Amino acid sequence: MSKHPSNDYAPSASRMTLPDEALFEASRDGDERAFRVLVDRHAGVVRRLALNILGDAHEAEDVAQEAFVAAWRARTGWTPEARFTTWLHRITVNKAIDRYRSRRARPEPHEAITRLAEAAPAAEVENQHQALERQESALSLRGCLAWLPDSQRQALTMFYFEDQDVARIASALNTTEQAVRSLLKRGKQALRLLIQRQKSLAPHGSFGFPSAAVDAGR
Amino acid sequence: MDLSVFRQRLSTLGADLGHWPDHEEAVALLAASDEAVALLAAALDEDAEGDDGLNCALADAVLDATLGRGAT
Repeated sequence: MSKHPSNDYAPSASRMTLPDEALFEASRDGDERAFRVLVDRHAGVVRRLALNILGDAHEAEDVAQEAFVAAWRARTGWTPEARFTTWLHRITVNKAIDRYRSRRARPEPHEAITRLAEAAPAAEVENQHQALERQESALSLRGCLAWLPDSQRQALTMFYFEDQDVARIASALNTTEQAVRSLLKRGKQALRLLIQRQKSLAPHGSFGFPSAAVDAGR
Repeated sequence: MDLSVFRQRLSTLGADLGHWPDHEEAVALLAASDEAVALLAAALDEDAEGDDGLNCALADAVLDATLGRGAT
């Protein structure tokens, strides 16, 4: 990906004073610097909207980025009937709520293990330890991936299990190599957290997948 | 939750929905009401100071993802 000189891209002083709607119309007509002014102007509130719904800074950044990308992609269909911020904030909130509800629809891994233990019939209490061991083994690295946000899971799956390089992943996900590296980094951090959580629930050390694989980078 | 309660929560508890006792209801209202979203955004806009580094990094990532080039 080629880098253009930054002075091609920097917003001019005149753009800084334009209202949002005029900037978005200009960006729709191909003025990328106008879009930059909009992003600079609204990135903070968009990120904080997502953060206040999700309560997770990494996820909030993902949602904020997705919201701006969605706005950019929808720019040709936008008509200035409503305020730009009303539209942008609605996109952001919808994406954050989708993620929030998706996250709530699946139990945390440690909750699943606890539920399994609590659901065991009394006659099998002595076998709970073995049942937990089986459950832990079943929670393979692939299993843990299921708990991650979609974008991180896709990137990690393609990188670790399909052996695709960053450039190919970026192409497949219709994003940039930089964004893919960010997804891989955050995904690995989240996986480490999941592994630590599950290890803390399995003090006998029978956890079923090698965390070293994550630590090793591939 | 209706808009008047949402407004009251904002003024008394602040914009961090995680601290609201009826967080779920607030999220449901946000899903349905542009006015609630506007109220929350306005409150966050007032509070949004000290995030310049984060916002700059986010803006760079957004611009890279949309325009496909560096943003500095």
